[in-house]
Amino acid sequence: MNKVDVATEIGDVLTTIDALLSDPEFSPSNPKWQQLFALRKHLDDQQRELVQEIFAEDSPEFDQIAKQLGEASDSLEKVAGSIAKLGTVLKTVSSIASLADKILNLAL
Amino acid sequence: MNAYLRGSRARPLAALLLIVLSFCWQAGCGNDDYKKPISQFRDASAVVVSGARQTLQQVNQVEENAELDRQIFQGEPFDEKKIKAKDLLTEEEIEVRVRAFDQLSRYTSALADLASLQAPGQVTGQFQDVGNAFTTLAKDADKLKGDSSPILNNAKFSGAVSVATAGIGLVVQVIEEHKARREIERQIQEHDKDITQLTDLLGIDLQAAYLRRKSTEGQQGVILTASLKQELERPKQGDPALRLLLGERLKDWRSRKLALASADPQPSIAAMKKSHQALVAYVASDKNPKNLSDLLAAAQEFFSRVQPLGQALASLLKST
Repeated sequence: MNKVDVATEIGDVLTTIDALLSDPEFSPSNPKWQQLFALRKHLDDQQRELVQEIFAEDSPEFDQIAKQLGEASDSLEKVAGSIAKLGTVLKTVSSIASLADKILNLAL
Repeated sequence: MNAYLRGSRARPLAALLLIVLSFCWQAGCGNDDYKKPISQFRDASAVVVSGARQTLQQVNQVEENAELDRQIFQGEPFDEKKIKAKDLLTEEEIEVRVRAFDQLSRYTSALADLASLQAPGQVTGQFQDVGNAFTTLAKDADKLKGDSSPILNNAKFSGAVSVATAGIGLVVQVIEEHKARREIERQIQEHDKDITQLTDLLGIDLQAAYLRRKSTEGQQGVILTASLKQELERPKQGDPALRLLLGERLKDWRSRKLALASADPQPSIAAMKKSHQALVAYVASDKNPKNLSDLLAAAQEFFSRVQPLGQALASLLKST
């Protein structure tokens, strides 16, 4: 996995979040909407930072965190279909953002 | 008896000649058949180069517009510093990368001409031009290394340009020295990995720019739909004029989203690389019909791959 693969993974997460935020039943006046939008902005900033940084992409640490991020992204897919599971969605997106921070900390 | 023997020998030879001619006809050994993949490669490369230019030149504007939209949506004061801080590439970085794409395409064109001509000396000038352009490019790419913000890894990019320049320099040298065709082909094959490495790196840069464009367009969709939802939550569903205005912007956004789905540069870059490799294999194969057949297929695939990309980029250019 290289940084573009990780950026693609984050891009897929952003697409999933965008579909939820655009759901007609999910109002911006809902505090959870604002919370998810703030997380979206954070992930978007992380993706921008990621493409600008230099990494040792062949290091086992990079590979391991990238793999965990992929797994967290897969689990988000499973819960993001319904706004009834917003609590789990927020928790999963937060864990994805934490993993992205860990990767950014590996920047050379 | 002798006439009989001559006749019996001549028949299998004639049959063999017929088979070879038939195979050549099917595989496209003729000069006209060779012209088609080369012209397809040139046309397709032109789309990739102009697409790269457009994608990279728009990357900062796209980031800045997204930040401006976010500030307005979240009720923040207009902040030019925050907007400019979102830029991904400097003008110099964009210019050097676009020139690298252009020169890679010109190098492949020179290889194509070398393959189609009897005497390598006829393409000396063309190779010298590409060699000189790469030398200038390597110097300019090297200047980017010291920048305080090494966006999309300038050091690695500069290194790849230097290695490719050295490899192309050696190819130019053997052509200038009128070395045997076999020696020229050997140098081309030996240094082709350096060309491939540079193509890969440029492909990564373009892919990163494409991913960012997708993310910023996603945010735009969220902001527009959220603004409409907020308006609809107002008494009497808010202001109809504002709703119509948001509707118009949503229409533009939907068109861009559709075009963006076909603007992924990765399949075109992969096809470009494949057809370049097929051309190098053909050059080194002493015009083997099997290699020509592979080249025809790779060039056709490259040509087909870039068609949706070209249309998508034209559509995005109009709507940005």
